[in-house]
Amino acid sequence: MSEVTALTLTELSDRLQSAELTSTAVVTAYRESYRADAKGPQPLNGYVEWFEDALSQAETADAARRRGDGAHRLLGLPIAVKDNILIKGRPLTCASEILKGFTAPYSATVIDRLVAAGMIPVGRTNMDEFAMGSSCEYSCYGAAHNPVDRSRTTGGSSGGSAAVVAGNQAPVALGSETGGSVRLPASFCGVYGLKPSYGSLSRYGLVAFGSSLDQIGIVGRCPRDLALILAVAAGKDPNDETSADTDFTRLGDALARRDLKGLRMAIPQEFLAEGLDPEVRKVLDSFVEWARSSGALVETISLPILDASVAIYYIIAPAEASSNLARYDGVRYGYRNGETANLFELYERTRSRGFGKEVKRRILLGNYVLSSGYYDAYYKKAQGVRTLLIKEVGAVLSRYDLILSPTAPTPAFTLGSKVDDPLAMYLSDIYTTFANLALLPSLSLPAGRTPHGLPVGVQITGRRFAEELLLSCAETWYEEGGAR
Amino acid sequence: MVDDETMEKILYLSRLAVDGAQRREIAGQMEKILDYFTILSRYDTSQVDVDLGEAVASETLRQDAAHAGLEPKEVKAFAVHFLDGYFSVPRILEEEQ
Repeated sequence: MSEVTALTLTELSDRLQSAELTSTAVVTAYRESYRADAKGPQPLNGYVEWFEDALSQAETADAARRRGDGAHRLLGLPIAVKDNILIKGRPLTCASEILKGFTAPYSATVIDRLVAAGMIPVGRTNMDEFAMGSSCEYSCYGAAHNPVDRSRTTGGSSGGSAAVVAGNQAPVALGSETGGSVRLPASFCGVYGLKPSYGSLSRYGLVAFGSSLDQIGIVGRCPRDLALILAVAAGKDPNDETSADTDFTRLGDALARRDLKGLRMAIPQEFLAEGLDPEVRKVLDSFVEWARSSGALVETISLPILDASVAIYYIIAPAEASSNLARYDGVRYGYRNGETANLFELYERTRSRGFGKEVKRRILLGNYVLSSGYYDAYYKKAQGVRTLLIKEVGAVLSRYDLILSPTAPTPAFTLGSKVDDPLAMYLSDIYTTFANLALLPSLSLPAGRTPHGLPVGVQITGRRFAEELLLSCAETWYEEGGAR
Repeated sequence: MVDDETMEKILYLSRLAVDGAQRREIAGQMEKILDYFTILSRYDTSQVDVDLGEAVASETLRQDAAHAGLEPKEVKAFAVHFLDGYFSVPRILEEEQ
């Protein structure tokens, strides 16, 4: 690890502004870190493509900075991008065979805004196919490996994004969330991961999975880095009617730490029940101790409806996915399976050979819960319970500022251990999905390690659009030493 | 119960073909997952009006105005089978007997 790749995005920005570093040096350092690892015996496999023209963009950024014409503080800084977020002119596959050969005809709004500020996308990151998975193993490029212990998963689905940040191959990365896909890998890899409120970041240009849940997220090494990205990327987008008129620009200058005195935090006892690894519990307990000693009021509460969140999620998300993924038919995008006699055969053969096992399973599950005879029992029921969950979580957040919990029931598990047991894999999301269902912002912060050195994340969830509170509390944790 | 007939129906709806051992494996996994979903029966939703938060206010919707879309050359760049400015697909109409 070079000195440069050990720096946070904020530190890199400061050094570029003071001319202690150049963008060319920064991008070169990350490229060399990626290349050296790729030649090793067990590469992280976090990137599915490194953009070779990133260096020339860095040279252009350096020239712009030398001219001094009002350079943004993100000018010339690299960012890795999950392979389901469109960057104009670049390939995009969602780690699926079915999209191989597809080139993005436009950029996601979030990318447009970051590039307008001068950021340089340096590569596409590995993921579970179409963001369906909790381990980054369901990828046509093979599994990503956890930088802390390469025999273990990174978590998913944004496993590549967490791996490259934790593995010093990028200072910051974009991921995406539908049920925990940024927070879970952040927890497993020991970095910070933010799922903004539904609507804070435009979904235009994010490949759709579950449209009522999807949200672009951010992975970084410190809360200020997440704030820097959020400040630029958030806000209303005419191309996404569900985007909100949020303004986080003030967070870009200086995210301030927050005094925890008087802050009210609730820990749902349902998240402390059977299935929680004792080592994870120990880390949570020590975080709670720190919060209390900092003046926060931390209380255990009962919120039984949280027990239903995984079931609600795995009905609604596959239902929405079965509709969203109907567009991959061999006609318009990427892969087509050979010459076929008619259109039905074209659809069936292309989809059967183009999609992987987990994606097929979720499409089938989605069509099952939406089909005649099962719709009321599953889909309508899940929508009803989701509505109850939103109300009950909202009631808790009217009494408390934050909901505190572990991010995941276990530390990173070993590669291959859950890949053939979908229900066991789904239960990895047991603490994360409620925030997506309730449209809330949620942040995973590295809270400690197990005796074997595996990172453990703690999750804080707040009221809708309370991103600043989450980030400022996390900043307090970070400044006071965090999990280091 | 995901029996053969049900599996056939959802495979058709999904435009997917899965056969043999894989079909039985998926059906078994789906049964296990569907069984897990019975947890939802604990909650009475008979009086619940589905509400996923505030609706999009009509005044925030886009104007109903046409905007420039993708140019054919841009479409060609991402479509693998493109001919004379159109997506190319297999024959749709059957030949007359």
